[in-house]
Amino acid sequence: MHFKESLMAMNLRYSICNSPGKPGTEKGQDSGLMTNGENLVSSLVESAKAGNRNDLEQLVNLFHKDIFRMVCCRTRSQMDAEDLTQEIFIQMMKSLPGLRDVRRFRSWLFRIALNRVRDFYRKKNILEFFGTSADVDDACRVPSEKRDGPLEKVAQKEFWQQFHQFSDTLSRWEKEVFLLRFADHLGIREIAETLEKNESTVKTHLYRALKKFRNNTEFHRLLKGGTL
Amino acid sequence: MTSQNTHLSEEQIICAVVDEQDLPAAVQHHLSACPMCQDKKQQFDRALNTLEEMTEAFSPLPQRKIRLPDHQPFFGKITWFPVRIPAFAAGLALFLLTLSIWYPGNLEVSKEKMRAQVLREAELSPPLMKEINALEEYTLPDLCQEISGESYGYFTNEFMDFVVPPEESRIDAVRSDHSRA
Repeated sequence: MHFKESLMAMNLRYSICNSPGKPGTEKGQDSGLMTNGENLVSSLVESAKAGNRNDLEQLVNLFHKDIFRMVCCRTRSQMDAEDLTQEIFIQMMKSLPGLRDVRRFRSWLFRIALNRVRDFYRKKNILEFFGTSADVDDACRVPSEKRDGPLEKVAQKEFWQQFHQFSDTLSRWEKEVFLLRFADHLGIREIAETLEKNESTVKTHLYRALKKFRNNTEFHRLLKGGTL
Repeated sequence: MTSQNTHLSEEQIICAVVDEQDLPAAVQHHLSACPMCQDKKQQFDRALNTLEEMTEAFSPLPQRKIRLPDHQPFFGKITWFPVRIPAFAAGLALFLLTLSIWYPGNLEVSKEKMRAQVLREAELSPPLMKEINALEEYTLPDLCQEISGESYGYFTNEFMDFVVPPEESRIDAVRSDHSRA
């Protein structure tokens, strides 16, 4: 990818992640207005749907990191996450002509990813039943976004340990909503679209998850001491 | 004490973090006016923001680039194919099983049919029938017939004439003897 395209992708990512109603804002609610980033994504999706290869690749580059992070957080394995991410984007490419509302691309893509992760776990369970599954947990051994020294690596390891420990205490839907909201940075509306549930159900699950989070003092302490 | 003067409970703070609009109007009004409740909510918001930042910062980076196929794969167009593979395999197995049970019986029937067909064709071809009849009459070759003693090839008309000469030839022979004498 050319430098100009990389820069554009970076700008788009920034624009999407910091748009009103997106994670990172105080309310975390979705506004009805579309931002520039969302408009650009929509136009890229339209163009990719029409068969524009360059725009399709730009779209992939734009969401590659987000999808990889989402998958990695759930599979806890870099290798599996790499393979699944590849499969997810191929699936995206195949299913793109069937996407009706281009404005819902992000939640649609996350739904594909979520379904792939579920398939992965179903297969893994079967393999485990026959005793042929190789359980590799290398999430802590791979380089993070901040390529830091040993102290940061320890902090990173501790963070993920606490994070997974906490998320394992949540029920299935609480965990799903919590991860989509705080690990994948989706808004309430997007989560509802991704999980194909109504917004009030999503809010209820999120409320319950946050209540448990509030009571988890150890995790809270870690976050308060977290230096980035 | 009205709800406007009461500080927000723990549950209401969480509710405000999820969606402030879901709170009753009086509670919303209190929240907008009370610095203590605002501070509580902001603390919780900050913790969640830190969580978001940390999940992003501590996440690994993808090492491989996504490779998209140049063209849509063949089976990609036939969307039902991968889904129906087990059903297809089961159907094929059932078909083969049925065929293996049914085929030997059918083979016997086909042999009978073939024989009838050959006979019908033979009847329609006279030279072939002649050959068949000859074979039926002389089932064994000459040499075999000689060995078995069933051949009468030596007793030809010439041989019989030599053993028992005909009357004309006997008279001719007597006349020739007289003329010589």
